[in-house]
Amino acid sequence: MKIFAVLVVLVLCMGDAYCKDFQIEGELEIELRNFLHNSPYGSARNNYASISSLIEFGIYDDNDKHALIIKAFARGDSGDSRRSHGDLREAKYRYVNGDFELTLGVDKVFWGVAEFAHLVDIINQTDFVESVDGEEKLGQTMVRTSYVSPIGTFTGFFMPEFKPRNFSGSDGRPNGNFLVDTSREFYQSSDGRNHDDFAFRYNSSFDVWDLGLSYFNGTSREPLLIKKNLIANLIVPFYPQREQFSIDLQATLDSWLLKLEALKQIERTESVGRFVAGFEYTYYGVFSSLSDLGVVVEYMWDERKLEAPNLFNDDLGFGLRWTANDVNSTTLLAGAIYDLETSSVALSFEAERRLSNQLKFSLEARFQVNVDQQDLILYPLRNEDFLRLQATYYF
Amino acid sequence: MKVARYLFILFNFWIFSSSANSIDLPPESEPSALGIAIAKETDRRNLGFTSTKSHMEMVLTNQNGDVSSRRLRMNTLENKNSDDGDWNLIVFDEPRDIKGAALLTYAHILDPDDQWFFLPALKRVKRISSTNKSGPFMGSEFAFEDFSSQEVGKYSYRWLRDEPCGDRTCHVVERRPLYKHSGYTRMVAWTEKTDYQLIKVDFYDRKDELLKTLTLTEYRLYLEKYWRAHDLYMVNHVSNKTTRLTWTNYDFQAGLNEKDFSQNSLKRTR
Repeated sequence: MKIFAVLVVLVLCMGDAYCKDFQIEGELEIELRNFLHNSPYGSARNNYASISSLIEFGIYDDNDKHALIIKAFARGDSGDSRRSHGDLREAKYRYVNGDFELTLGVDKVFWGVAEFAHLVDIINQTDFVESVDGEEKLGQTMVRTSYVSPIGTFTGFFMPEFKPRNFSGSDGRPNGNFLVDTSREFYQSSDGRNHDDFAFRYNSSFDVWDLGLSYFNGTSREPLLIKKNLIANLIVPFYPQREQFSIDLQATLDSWLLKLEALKQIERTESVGRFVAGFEYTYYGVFSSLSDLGVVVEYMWDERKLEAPNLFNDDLGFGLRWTANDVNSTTLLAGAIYDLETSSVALSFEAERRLSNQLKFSLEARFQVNVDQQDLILYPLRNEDFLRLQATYYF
Repeated sequence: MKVARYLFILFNFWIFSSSANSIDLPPESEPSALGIAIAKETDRRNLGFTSTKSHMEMVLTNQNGDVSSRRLRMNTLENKNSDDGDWNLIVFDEPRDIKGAALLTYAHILDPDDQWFFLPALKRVKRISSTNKSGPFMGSEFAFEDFSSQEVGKYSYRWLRDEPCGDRTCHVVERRPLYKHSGYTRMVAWTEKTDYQLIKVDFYDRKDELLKTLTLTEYRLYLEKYWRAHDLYMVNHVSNKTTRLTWTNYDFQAGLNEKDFSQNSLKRTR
């Protein structure tokens, strides 16, 4: 189906009567990763180099009523075999008529307002080998329609195809003291990856408020990692069916952004509540300079507390963002997540700077401090501190 | 976030009508009344433009002569309610790392504007604070408030004098921001008397010292009614940096409506 979409774009463009406006562009990235500690696995290394590319094609008619868009991503890694992968981020036909919009094909959708955790964001699967922060996503096949009404926007989703989360293999990192065997992943639904998922969303902005209400029914994007006793250090992903009701809300009051994401998820008759709540405050022109300093504080909660199969169950996130507002758009971002139950701390640091119109550098560092054995997620990753340097060229 | 910068509407800044009817202005003995009358006449001559599309290029030059550039496209919708500001949608094209990022603004007169920023890599629409009036726009010598929709109600006015400007005569009017978070104590604006074209603006910082000068040239007339400057040159007298802003491809007949300024349309930008 995806290859078909690529062909449609190319054929349409050759018959230039339809190719009213054709765009092709992309980016090429070189990346170096350095892990500070040795891995328990002999095949894993401390240094990895890789190259990746994102290429975008688009065909648009005169008034953008019809559009065909393809975004293809691929990465080749020097040592991490699972990280060498490709994905169609987008391959879609889009039709817009006034208040009505229809999208057919592969696309990416974001829901939510928080910075440390993206709780209510459930449409796309996380591309976990790309980034551990959960912000890189795999493309999702969907039929999506939305209607913009005077009281807000209503959107419906039908998703006939599921993509499982990817994990590093024994030669890749970050990796814990266990390996995820994705070849033996299993599903609650007998339809497996072909279960028909549905979602519905309402969102609206009024005065200082931005509100989203969402419903999802289908295969959970968050696998449960099940320990198989037969083989040591091996765990297998299990994808239950999930029904999820969620709200995301932001109040924008001068320099303050107040944020809430809350959800109720029902998996195999177990009903669980989760939320993230907090604020973002920005000092503009800090220290009498042209730069800005933003402070983000968020509290993350999961009803299951320590038993929760996720990092954010009773945790406090604290972040600082410094924006230079210079010609090079220099940005520094420092974050800490403190687990109120186990006192584990995860630290992150990110820096970005543009070198020219077509070239950008970024640096990322992630560290674990004082990791407690009770911490089911962080403890296995305690030796996975790393640095990552990226140079991105746009063409 | 990286480019969570915002920009307002440029047009009222240099828009004036060609209808050169002589109007009845208050006497020079009432400088406040005369100042506000000049602002209202400027505003009146821009009524009814409905919507525009345009392209912009910005060239930034620092004190060493190093040059960098930015490109963007802007759509603007006139607000039929004269007690409120206009709407606009800006799509960034260059530098390439922020290509596809977009900013939607519903401007207000004294209340903070409503603004949403679209981050294309995450496909995320984020409502952002609009209090950063005095910060630099895309690293340039233009502050966000310099782009702001110049509604009459945003300032108090005082006429200073009339004087020759080039081969024409200008009203020289001082205006002081009434909205919060401005980086200026006051501005002095030279408005040409026949077509009400804005020719020059001096900006005074919070210590009331001359900070910047903006010069507007290359005026062209659209729909036989609306003047637009196509060359805006800002000089920072403190840092010696300059920014030249060039408008092209003005389209007054794009027929945009409110649907083109929704959060859904923000996500569709390219």
